[in-house]
Amino acid sequence: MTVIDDQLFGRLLVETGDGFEIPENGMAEILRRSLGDASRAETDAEAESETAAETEAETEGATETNPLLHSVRGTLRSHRLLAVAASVVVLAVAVAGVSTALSHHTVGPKATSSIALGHATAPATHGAASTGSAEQGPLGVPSANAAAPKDSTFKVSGGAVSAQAPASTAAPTTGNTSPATAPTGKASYIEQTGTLTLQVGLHGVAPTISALRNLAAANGGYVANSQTQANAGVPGVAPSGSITLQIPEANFPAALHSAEALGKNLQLSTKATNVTGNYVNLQAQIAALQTSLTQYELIMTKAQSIGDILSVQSQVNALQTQIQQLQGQLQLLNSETSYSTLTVQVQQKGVVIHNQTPHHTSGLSRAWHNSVHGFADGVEGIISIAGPLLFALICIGVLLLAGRVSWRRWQRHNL
Amino acid sequence: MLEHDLETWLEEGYVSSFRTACLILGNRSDAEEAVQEAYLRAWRFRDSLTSVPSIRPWLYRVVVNSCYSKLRQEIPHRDHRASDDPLTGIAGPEANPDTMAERSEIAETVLDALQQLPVSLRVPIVLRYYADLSEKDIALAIGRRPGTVKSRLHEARRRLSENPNIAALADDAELDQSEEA
Repeated sequence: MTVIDDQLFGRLLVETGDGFEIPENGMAEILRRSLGDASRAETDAEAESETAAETEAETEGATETNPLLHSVRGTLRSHRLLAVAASVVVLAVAVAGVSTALSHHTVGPKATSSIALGHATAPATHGAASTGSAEQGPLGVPSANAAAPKDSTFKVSGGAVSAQAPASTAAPTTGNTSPATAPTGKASYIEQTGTLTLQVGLHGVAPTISALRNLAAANGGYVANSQTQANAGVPGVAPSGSITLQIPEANFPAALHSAEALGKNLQLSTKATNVTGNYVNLQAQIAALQTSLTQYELIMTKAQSIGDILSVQSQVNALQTQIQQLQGQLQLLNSETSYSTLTVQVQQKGVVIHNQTPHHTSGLSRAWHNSVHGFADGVEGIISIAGPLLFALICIGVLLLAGRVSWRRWQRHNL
Repeated sequence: MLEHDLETWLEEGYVSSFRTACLILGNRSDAEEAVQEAYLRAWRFRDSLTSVPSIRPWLYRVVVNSCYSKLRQEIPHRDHRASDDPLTGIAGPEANPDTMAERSEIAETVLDALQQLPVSLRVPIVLRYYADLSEKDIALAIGRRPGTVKSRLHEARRRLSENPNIAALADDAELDQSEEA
C-alpha cells in the first residue's frame, strides 16, 4: 500500500480546494442580507428553479423586516426539541387523566350495586333434585313495637324472613322501628356475608348440619334456611346439604372459624358491604313522611265536612303505608347488619365441586394444565408491567430529549 | 462597527470557508448557500462570542454545521441539478489548457475520493489538510474530543491511501519529485 504523507494530503486538498472559483457576489450578498436589505431580486432569480431554497430565502427576507417575528421564529427553531418533549409530557398527562377518569367511571356502578338494598342473604333453594326440606328459623328480626302497624310486611328473597311471623322469645331485640330512636351508636352499618364449602366423610353430612345448628345457637344466632339431600339408594350421587346461619355480627369470625373445623374447607369467601348510606336515607325518608303525616292529622282535626275528612284520611292512609314500608326496609337492613349471614354447603367426600379446579390424574394432563396456567400468568404479567414500562419509557424519552437539548445548548454556549 | 466586524470576518475567512464547504459538500452552489447561511447565523449569534477563545474554529464550526444541515436535510431529498456537478467552477488563474486539464483531473480524483468517505471522516480531513486547523481546533469545530478527531483523521488517511486513484496521484507526485531532484 502506498504511504501518503501529510504533506501530500495537504497539497492534494489545497490544489483541489483552491480550484473552486469564489462567487463574485458571495460576500456582498452576505453583507446585504445582514443589513436587512429586502431587495433580493438577484438571488431569487438565481434560485428560481430551487423551490425550497427560494421559499427559505423569502422567509428570511420577511423575518428580517420584522424583528419580533424573527425573534419568535428563532426561539421556536432553537427550542424545537424542547417543544416536542413538552408535547410528549402533555400528551402523557392527558392520556393518564383520561384513563383515570375512565377507571373511575367504571368503578362507580360497582360501588352503587354493592350497597343496593335487598341483597339476598339467603341462598336460593336448590332445584328439583333437592329432596330436603327448607325450614324457617326463629325470627331474628326485631319485632315491630306497638306503634307499628300489624300489617307491616317485608320479605327477603327466598322467603327466609317474614315480619308477620311471631317473634320468638329467643330472638334478639336489638332493633327499634322508630326512626328517631333507631340505633345510631354504630359508626357504620356493615352487611357481612360468608360462604363456606365443607367436605365431610362418609355419612357425615347430617351430623355436620346438626353441628352447624348447634353452632348457630351457641353463638347467639339462628338457622335461616337448611336443606339436605339424602339421595339414599341413588348410585353415584353422594348426599349433600346446605344451611344458612344468621350469626350476630360480633360472633361471626368465631362462628366461621368453628364451622371451618367441622370438615375440610374446600372454599371460603366472605363479603362485607357498607350500607350506612341506605340506612341514613331510609331514616330521612321516614322522618319526612312522618312530618307530613302529622300535618295531615292536624288538618283532619279541623275538617268539618265528611268529604274533607275522607279526603284527608285517604292521604293519611297513603302516608302511613309508605312509612310502614320504609320502616320494614329499615328493620330488614338493621337485621342484616346486626346479623351476619353464613351459608355452609356440606358435601360428602367424592363429590366434585363444580367451581373447583378439575382434578388431573395423569401427569400429562397436569403438565398441560400447568402449561396453560403458566401461559396465562405470563400474559397477565406482561399486561401488568406494560403500563409502568410505558410510563418509564416516556419518562426516559423526555429525559433524553431534555438532555440532548441541554447538551446542544451547552456546546453552543461553550464555543 | 458591527458591519465592519462582519466584513472583517468575510475578508479573513470567506474564501477558505467557501472552499472548505466545497470540499465537504462536493459542489459550489450548495457550498455557497451553506457558507452564506453559516455567516448569517454566526452574525446573528455574535453576542455569544464573548466566551469564545478563538473566532476561527467557531466560524468553522458554524460552517460545518451548516454543511451538515445541507447534507442531512436538503441534498438527499432533491434531484441532481446541473450546478451540483462537482467540477463546475473549478478553474485556475492559468489560461494554459494543459494545466487546466491536469488540475481538473486531480480535482476530480480528490473530490471523488472525498465523497466516498463518510461525512464523519470527510469533515476532519478537510479541516485538517485544507483549512489547516489543529486537531484541537477541529475538535472544537465538530464538537468532538481531540482523541476522536485523531482517530478519525487516521481512519480517513488510511481509507484515502487505499484508494487506487489517490495512490496513483501519490505515485505521480513521487515521480515528479524524483525527476526534479
